[in-house]
Amino acid sequence: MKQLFVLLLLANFTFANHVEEYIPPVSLEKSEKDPSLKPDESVFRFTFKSISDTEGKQVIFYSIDGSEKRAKLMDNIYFEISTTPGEHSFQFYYDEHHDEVTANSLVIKAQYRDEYSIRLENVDFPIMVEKPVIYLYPTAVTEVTVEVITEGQLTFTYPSYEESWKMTINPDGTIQNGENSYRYLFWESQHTAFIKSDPSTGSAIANKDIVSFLEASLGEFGFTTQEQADFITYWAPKMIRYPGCKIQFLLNDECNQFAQLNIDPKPDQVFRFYMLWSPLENVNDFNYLRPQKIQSISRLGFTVIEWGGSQIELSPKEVL
Amino acid sequence: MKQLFILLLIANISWAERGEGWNYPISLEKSEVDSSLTNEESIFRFRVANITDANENRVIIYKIDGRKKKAKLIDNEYFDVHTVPGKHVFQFFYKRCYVKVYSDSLLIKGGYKDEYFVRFDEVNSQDAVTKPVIYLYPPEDTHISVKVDIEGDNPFFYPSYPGKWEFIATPDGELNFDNATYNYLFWEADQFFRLTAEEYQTGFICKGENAVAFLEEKLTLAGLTSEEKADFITFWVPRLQRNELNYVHFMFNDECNVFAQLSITPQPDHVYRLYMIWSPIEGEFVVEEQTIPLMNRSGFSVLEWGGIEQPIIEDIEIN
Repeated sequence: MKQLFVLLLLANFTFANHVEEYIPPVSLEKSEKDPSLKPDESVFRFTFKSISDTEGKQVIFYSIDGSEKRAKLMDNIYFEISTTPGEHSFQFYYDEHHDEVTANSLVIKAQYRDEYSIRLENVDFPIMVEKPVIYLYPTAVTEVTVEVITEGQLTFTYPSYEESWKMTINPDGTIQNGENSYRYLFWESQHTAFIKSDPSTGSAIANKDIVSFLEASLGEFGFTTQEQADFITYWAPKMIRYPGCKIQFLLNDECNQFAQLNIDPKPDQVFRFYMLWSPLENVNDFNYLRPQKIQSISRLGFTVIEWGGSQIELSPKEVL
Repeated sequence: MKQLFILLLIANISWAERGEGWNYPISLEKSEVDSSLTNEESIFRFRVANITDANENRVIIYKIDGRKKKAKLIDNEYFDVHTVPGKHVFQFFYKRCYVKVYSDSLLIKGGYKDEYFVRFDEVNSQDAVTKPVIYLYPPEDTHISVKVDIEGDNPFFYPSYPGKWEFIATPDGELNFDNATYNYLFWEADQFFRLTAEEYQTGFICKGENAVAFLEEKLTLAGLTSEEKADFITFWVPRLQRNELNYVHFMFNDECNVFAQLSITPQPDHVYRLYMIWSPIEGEFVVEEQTIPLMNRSGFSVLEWGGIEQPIIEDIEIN
């Protein structure tokens, strides 16, 4: 059912995009003669209006007729190539968050300036964040306040959450709330997060190896076997129903994309571990994935650990 | 959401069927003038196909243009619906182990009797018996072995299950295996399961928005600890709360042998099993509330809980 919900979200998202007018990735905006160019010279100007990020690296990788180059964007939006009249092929690539665009056979006349706009679609995707569980291990019995800041509303929390959880926590991780005690705090949200992750990293694991892969990964990170069991019994039964899965982990600060945790008193260490996974028909098609290195945690001082995850669709590129 | 789920189910069924010679669930067999009818009258005759049970007094529940009716089959095979000429939309329901049948709008002329076949396919999907979790609390550190004899298919176990689980359990419920410590044993399997008509008479109606309070109350009556309740509630409430209304039926102790039998050595003093069978529902549904027995936690006690989500119960099925 959860799976379906994600599908639904993705489907809606896709439909919404389709309702908008279709904008081709490459379109000729202007073509005019420039007598100041040499008789055997032509100039392409490519503008990129669809790139939306704030990091400001603004370097486009491109190839012209098979030779690879890079160009810095002028005014953060365009670059020019001086070439010869005739037919040229281009490819443009910005980063892993955007589609690559190919423009085959653009014909340009001598002494012309042709201006094209190139649309690099953002391929980051919305997901539903499932079952994050938070464990807290203070060094002494401590009154702790935990706030979860998400983009959307929390759809479910346990124990109940009113703007925050205020509980007494024992060093063994037992969470005391009046008469009741718990091992973890649970939250779930159904907002759509646009996740940035590099689709070329991760692992393709056949279903019979999923449990041992998860045990190894969780163990390397530093989860206790009890914590591992909570994670594995939640996720593995869903994953082993497919021939295999692509598995990618987002660790620590990378998880701020899902939600932010405000904890008072401030823990000495906060570790977060999220898994993105997609069903695969054949794991051998994904041998190119670069395995992730998992940095081990040390549980020194007041330590907080959270895990969560989401089943996602492969991007259209990966399906091919 | 519900709609999509149903569509998906139907889609799956259709694809599966089409592979091996698809039969439409409703097909027109005959259309003829019936001289006993006036021009303002028409009769649909629905001939029921494909039901294989031994019931000799089959009753079909159907809806015509949204109104719910019941019909006893004549010769255990067909029933007639007297109506007016024009377009009519039907739904047919027999039992929960057969797929519900939905018609397009069927057009009938005045003075005509139209005969249709209505094919009821058996539901052959399996529900996952989801997340049975076993906790063990011996009075002192005890070497224990646990076997589960599962009725369903494709079992999944955690930790790994080489024919049985063997570990040392402590009084606070920690299960110490050779290299690892766990709080519970976990298994899951696929099994086709439906409550009987009699079982459907008892249970609870739980509003999605009240699911936490509902389960806290029932599980407290059952005697679960707050930690056990948290495991149960965090697993099931996110699912229950997506529906406006749910039907919930609990099965206890030996009743749960239909899912799996537990063999535990040494023999516990008390084993308490609680399975929650539930469906989203649409429409009014009256049930007699079940009594929740209290778990006895004295001596060596064992708790197992699990559950199955079943397909939506629509008002057409509800008497």
